[in-house]
Amino acid sequence: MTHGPEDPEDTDARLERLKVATGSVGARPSFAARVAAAASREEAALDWMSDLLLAARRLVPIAALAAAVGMIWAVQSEHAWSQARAANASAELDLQW
Amino acid sequence: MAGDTSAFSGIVLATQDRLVRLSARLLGSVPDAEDVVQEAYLKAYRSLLARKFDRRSRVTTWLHRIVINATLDARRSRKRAPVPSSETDPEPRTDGAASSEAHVALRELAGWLGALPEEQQVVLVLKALEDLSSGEIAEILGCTEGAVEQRLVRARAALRKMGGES
Repeated sequence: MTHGPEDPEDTDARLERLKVATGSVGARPSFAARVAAAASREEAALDWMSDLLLAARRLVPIAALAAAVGMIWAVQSEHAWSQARAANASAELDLQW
Repeated sequence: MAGDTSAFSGIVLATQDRLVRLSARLLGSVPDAEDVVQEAYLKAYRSLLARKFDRRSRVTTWLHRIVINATLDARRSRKRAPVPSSETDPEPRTDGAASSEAHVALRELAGWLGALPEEQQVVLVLKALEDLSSGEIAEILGCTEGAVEQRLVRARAALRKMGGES
């Protein structure tokens, strides 16, 4: 029995032949090592980023404390400066009098 | 993190041949398929590290989906910027698990199916060459089994119409 160009057997037979012929195709031996190396590089980059974020997160309370201390110091300094200025002004008035 | 890496290596070893073969059957080249599958694995690895894999589908189904999308993207970009014929390998590289006969067959397959629309090629390769069920294909492609069957019928009809010419 022969198959004409429109015979579905031709298509199926060709698909089957190509399936068998390409059945041995797979990754080359070095492939898994290549992927592992690329994944390690990826992981190292991610580690660096997460270390940076962790360090930044640890710095947040210290920075907040430093800001609070700075604020208190600024308020106290401003208060001391106002008192000194007031005392200075009254001394000037005494001198003028 | 170390557990992630060893689990991922296990996944690569268990799936690499199947995924490279699938991509090579669509691309017609093992080295190109390896590049695509490597990128797909890295994409999957990033998603696993970021806990983005939702576990609603199996890992193999998810990897098939990533590889198919990456393969089609690679083919589209290859079409946009085709390599001049003088720069292509005169002979396919045979330094792998496949024989030179297999490389010739890969090229014949990619050339023959290349005339079909992408979605028909993918369905035909998954069904007729990778032996997946319509249900599995539907899950990979995110469509219904009916759509898979319809694409298969159309693909076979188009191939019959072409009369087996490559």
